[in-house]
Amino acid sequence: MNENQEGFIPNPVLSGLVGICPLIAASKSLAEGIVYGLGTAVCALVLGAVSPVIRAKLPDRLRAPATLGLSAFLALSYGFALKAYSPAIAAGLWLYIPLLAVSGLSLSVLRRGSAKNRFRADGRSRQIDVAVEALLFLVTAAIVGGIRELVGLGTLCLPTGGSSPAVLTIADFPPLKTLVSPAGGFILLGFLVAGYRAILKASRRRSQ
Amino acid sequence: MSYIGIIVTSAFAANALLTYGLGAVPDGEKGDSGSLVSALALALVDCIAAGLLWVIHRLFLAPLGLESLDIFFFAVLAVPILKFIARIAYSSRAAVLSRMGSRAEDLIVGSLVFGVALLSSKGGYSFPEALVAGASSGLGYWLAEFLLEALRERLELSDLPQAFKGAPAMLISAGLMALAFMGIDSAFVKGLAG
Amino acid sequence: MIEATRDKMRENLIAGAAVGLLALALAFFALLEGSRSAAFEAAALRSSPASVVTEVNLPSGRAFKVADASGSGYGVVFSAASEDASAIFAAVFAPSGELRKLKIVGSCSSRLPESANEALDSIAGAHSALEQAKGIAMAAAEAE
Repeated sequence: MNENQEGFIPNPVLSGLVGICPLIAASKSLAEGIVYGLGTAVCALVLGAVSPVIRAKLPDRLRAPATLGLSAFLALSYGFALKAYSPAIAAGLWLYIPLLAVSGLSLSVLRRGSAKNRFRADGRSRQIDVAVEALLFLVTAAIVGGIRELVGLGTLCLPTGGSSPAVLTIADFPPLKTLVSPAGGFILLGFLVAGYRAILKASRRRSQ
Repeated sequence: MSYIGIIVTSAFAANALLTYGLGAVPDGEKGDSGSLVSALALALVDCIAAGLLWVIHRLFLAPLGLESLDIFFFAVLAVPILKFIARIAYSSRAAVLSRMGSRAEDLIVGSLVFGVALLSSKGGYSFPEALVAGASSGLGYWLAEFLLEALRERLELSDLPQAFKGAPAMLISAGLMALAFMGIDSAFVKGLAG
Repeated sequence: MIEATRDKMRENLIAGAAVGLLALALAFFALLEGSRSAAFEAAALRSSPASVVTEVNLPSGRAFKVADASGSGYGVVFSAASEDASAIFAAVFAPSGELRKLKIVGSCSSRLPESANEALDSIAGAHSALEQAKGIAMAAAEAE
């Protein structure tokens, strides 16, 4: 698929740099990447479904507080569910789960939800765009977390439940520990964005 | 921890942008980020946000055992107060206040303000310490932004491969800067400020 | 104009009621989660089936009075997270403030040393979390 094809939806993280704020620091293992990405996806999907209703029913000055309150409610509910499922993963994401309330993806979904038309010019529903972007965000967060943990620590932490999630040890020693630090997250994301652009450019050239 | 220790920790060792990744926005959206007005706006918004969340946490939620609801009550109670203050500043006649109000309004609903407020309230600080931590986090963020802006101007003049131009080069530069900030850890802060 | 004011009041009332309902639902979830995590922490602090663990409610955090064969102390469960590891610790302090017991309850890393003290050293910021926990335990001892 390339960007000139009809129906192409760009990756929100690698193309639009949406929601990278806590993603860089939160996705430091596979489990945390999946859990954080899933939380963002769920919040974005629910907000995308509810924002047309909010737009239709509430007056202008109450829309922003209502959506922010709903967003915080979703983030907290997800946090409670995560703590019950896996306290260790919840401990690792202590700051970032509450920040799901103001995740970049949710905010961009809300901005688009305030558009008058629920359908794009090509007739496709905006809800499908939101769903695809949410899925792409989840996959990207999982990939970033997986690469950082595998290359950084030589392990893969799986998002299983209980007090300690299952951890696969791949390497005997951490190959490149800096990659799990936020500095490594910034650098890895920079290379991933560059790689994504190069792939899109190559596929554009092939289709021309 | 002494106030100097809190300032150094919040601005450098626990830098909002380079340590926690808060407030990282795509390039081209930052606007007037390197100016003193921006620094003042960041420090004040984060200071007030940290203070408000501390008050909500300690005086209302903790006595009822509802500390885990801090982000909801911050979103519902503190954000409107912050927006009200920003709007008053924006509509004032003084140009500096007006620009500060405008910058503050852009920041309020974002991961930076929410994240700094959460960090300050969970740090076990007293009220004055939370205010200082919030203001220092805002200034630390401004410093990182200012340095990255200077780097961006140099990168625009550099001959980079097409795929690395713009955001990828900025992200890699931010990562290298974060590596430098990692050198300021808690042992260094303890040695410096006790 | 009176109707417009009445409409505005009605909108504000509905918005307030919606927020109130959301807050109530959240409060309900938070209390449920609070009692579930209190049970988890009490179990983590128990060193034997004969240990008696009672909750001490404090504004600064949750502590437990732990009475077992070796005496009584004040326990706090806290978490520490750094860039490469995160773990949940259970610490019991003597009434004088001395650390009596420290163990790892759960962790999200296989690189963490097995000894709780070494794990504490390897996670950045864990020592200040331990100090905070000690403060909560001391406050619980004073409150008793």
